[in-house]
Amino acid sequence: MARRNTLARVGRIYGVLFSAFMLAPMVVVLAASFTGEGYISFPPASLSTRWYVEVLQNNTFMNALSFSLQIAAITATASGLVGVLSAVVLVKPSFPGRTFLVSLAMMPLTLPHIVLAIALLQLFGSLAIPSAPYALLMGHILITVPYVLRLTMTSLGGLDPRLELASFTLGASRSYTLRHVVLPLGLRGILAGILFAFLLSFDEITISLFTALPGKMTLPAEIFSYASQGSDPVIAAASGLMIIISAVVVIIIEWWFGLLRLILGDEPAKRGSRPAGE
Amino acid sequence: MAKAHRTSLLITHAAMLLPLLVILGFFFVLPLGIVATTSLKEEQTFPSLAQYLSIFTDGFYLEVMVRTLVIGLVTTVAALLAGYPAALLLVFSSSRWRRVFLFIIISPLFVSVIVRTYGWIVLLGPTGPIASLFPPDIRPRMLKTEGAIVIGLMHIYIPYMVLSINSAMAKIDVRLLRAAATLRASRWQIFKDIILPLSAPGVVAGSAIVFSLSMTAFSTPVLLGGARNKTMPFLIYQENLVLGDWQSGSALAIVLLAITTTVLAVVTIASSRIVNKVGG
Repeated sequence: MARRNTLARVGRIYGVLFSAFMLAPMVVVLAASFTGEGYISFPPASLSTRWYVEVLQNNTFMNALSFSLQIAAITATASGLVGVLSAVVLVKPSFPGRTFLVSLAMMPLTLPHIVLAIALLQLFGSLAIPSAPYALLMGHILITVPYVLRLTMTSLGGLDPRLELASFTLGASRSYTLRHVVLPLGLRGILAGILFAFLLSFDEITISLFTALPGKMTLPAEIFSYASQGSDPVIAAASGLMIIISAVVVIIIEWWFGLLRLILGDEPAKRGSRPAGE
Repeated sequence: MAKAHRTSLLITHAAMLLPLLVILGFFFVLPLGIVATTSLKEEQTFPSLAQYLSIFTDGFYLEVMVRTLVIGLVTTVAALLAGYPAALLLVFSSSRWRRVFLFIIISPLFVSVIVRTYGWIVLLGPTGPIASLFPPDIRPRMLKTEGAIVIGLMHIYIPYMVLSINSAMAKIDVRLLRAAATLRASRWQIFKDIILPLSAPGVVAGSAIVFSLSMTAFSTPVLLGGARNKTMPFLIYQENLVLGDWQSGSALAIVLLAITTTVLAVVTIASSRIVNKVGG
């Protein structure tokens, strides 16, 4: 009995330490972003919001933020359309070539982002088409479609097939049934996928860095170039801004669909999602 | 009538799949083909293995390649050693704490890699909280080291390790553990003879994911390792975008892709063997 308690205590201590390790970088960035000093320090010597004021008045960061939001919105819309359209077809178990197509669509997830970025740049280069911002958009669409596809297939696959049959029996056409029965019932999963696509695109750094032009970079890419030149509290404030925006999207996903369900699938015991690489 | 209906349905389905097929074919398969072709060019000669030969005979390239492999391996081992107990804790904690703990492990995945990396720049920096534990004259230099790269990468990719091990552990039949306890097996025996072997597929899969992600990461090694500790992704960036040598840059990208694909393939086969062995 005593050993059992010791083990439980060791476990609890490890859990606390591990949690502290996991959260430390975000906590430190948020704390450092509220410093009143002109340099990065943790814990900050004095508190102020001056660096947030600074970042909100900084044209470079604000242009990058608006560019990031536009790219994320276009990515989410395009991935949503492509993912939902194909999921509606691929969810039918009888569809020929279904397994092959689904695994092909999932393949961009296992491709290192750096290789995808180089490949897209070379494609646009060999076509002699200006790559910005199309290479960036295509890269983001490729890495987010799999999530929309998977989440939509899971939500539509879980529907009772008798609902569709009932609709047909009542004289509804296929497209009417799709628009008024199937899609509304799968709406939660579909919107969760689209929100996740938005967040993945907003957070993405490698493809953005490789394909963006100087002067028209996403916010993560802009933070990268500032951070590689030195540490200025304005970077902490820009990073704080990213955390806040991500947190808002995460809260919406959690309230609307469930974060754990998004990552782990329907039941916690299910296999984890494929990784979203760097 | 029924046949005509079937045909029109097939056309509708094909049309609905068209955007996905176009995106995958034109922006995924084709560009990868272009990279592979470019890597086989030497000046105007095609096909030629000259780019690959120069990668594997050049001392600098080899040094970077070995560093990338070592960083990938050390990150994976560190993530495994720290992540395994966390996965164990997740399985054996009460459902309320499991939820909280899962949230803490998963939530960093929703924050941009660049923000998490910047967090480590602050944490490991010369005025950061860790440095301030030391007296000013003997403060260790932590940024711009290979150790900093490993810590940053491990933090970023450890959630995949924990989730992967946890999913294997969650599949273990609880009755197996109860039976072992009834038969007076010690906790250590239960761990060693049941939990450890049955969680092996999760360990293998998680390790493969962490290894390939940390070998191919770009921004974290660049920011935490500095110019002295270059890894392969930085070399790919330099060759392609700075020097404009797309042929050599493509060959490097293919080598990196080959390493990670091989690891993932070997691991997939190995873990299905493990599953068969344990299951049978």
